[in-house]
Amino acid sequence: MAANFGTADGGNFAAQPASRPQGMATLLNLPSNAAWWYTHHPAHWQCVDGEWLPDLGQMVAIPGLNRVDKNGDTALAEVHLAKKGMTVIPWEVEPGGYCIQYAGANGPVFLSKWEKPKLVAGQTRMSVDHEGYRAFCRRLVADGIIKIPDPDFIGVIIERQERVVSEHQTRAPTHPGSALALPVEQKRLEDMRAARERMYTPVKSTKAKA
Amino acid sequence: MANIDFAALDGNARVAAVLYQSIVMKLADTGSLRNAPCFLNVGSVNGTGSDSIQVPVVGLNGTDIMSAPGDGVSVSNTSITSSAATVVVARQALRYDLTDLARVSNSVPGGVDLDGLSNAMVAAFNGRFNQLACALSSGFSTQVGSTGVDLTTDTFYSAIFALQLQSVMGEYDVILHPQQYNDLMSSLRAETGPAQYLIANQEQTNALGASYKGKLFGVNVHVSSYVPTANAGADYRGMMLGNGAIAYALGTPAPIAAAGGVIIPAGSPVAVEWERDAASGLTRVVGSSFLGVVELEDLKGVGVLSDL
Repeated sequence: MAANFGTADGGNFAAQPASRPQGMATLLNLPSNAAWWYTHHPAHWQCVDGEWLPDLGQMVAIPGLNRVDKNGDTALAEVHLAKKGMTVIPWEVEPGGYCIQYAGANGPVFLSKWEKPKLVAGQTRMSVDHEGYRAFCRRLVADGIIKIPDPDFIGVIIERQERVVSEHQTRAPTHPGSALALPVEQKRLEDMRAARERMYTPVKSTKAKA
Repeated sequence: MANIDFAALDGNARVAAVLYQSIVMKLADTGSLRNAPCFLNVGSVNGTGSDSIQVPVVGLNGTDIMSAPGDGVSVSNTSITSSAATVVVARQALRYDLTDLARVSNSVPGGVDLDGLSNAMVAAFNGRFNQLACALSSGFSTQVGSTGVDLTTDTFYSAIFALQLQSVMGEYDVILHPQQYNDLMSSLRAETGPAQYLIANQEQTNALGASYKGKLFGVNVHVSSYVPTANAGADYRGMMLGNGAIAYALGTPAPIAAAGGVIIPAGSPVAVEWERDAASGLTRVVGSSFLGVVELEDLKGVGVLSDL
């Protein structure tokens, strides 16, 4: 039998795992949204387990939302956010990006890298990698993408917590609910103060002087 | 002789099930936030020559107060304080394609037929408005609440105090996720002292939509499942707003002959059109609207963060 070019490579056909037909694809049953970016305002901080971490917002590229144009261009929205002193955090700061797209029943669904949807008994449930997200927030500060907050901003949040504690202290003698809440809120206040001290105390260099 | 039982007739003279002559609506968030006073309708882009409306925010109402220059001293010139918010309008749309066989076999008027699909466009538009409006909550400079902590009356008061500190006048509206609303109700059960929660009555629900729940401490409470999550899905972030904190603009492709031969005038938020594809035996039902939503004044809003 004559050889031909079709058999010259020994019949090495390209192979790939089978995929479900389009009609059988499992689609995420969540409202469709659009690509988004994390944003940060200099005043947005939160005390999480004794540590001040940035409280991130989102810039969502839905046309018509907060200056996003008809084609989803966020240029005007970014200018507005910059005027407010906000930072738009690029996807690239997290290896592989932090905004993940899923195929949804009503269109694409964009979630963060730390949210994992799963279908349990017909319900869409979300498991969240809290520690992974906090590590990401820490890295943003450590890498200088988000600056350490001005003490005034932390002061405002602490003052707000002081008011809550003060109100509970006043009511605790006659109000069982406040008596129960008081130690919790006091602990939160102490955590905030201690975390502030740690954040603004310069780390002493251990290097020997020449 | 055998009896004539159901099994003998099944599939021939009897069928497995018949359709109920009405439809039951699938559960959905059908609330509409658009009529709340915190949303300022700045009009339509129709005939304006632009897809954007610029809303001037000018300090003409006591922003600049008088000084005492002294006798014979010329008073210095004061520049007026102003800013502007630009509402950029974009198309929002939904399309259903109904085959002729599906259409002619419909046995429930107003169900999955052209009329039913056309009517669904209004709820679809309201949902989209809610989604866009709620997405603004993380943009406000002032935020209250803590991650991982359920919404309490304390946090609710913190939001009121934050708005009062900025001299935000008039009534306030708060938009919460159902979970936040539940947590707030739980917290309220432990409250003592003077407080008033006025449950929404029928007239208020008609005026402000099914999402309106009532008035707590003088604040109009709205609930929407479109309130976004925060902190990578660990929390929800609602918002409390003063009057006119958020502006929105509309547009209509006008005038067009829409569903059922109705002419849609300019200014109607939603236009529904039927489009025939005779070759495929299809009728497309297309709902279109033009909508833009923007934060108008930063200090008139407060983000409300609480646990899932």
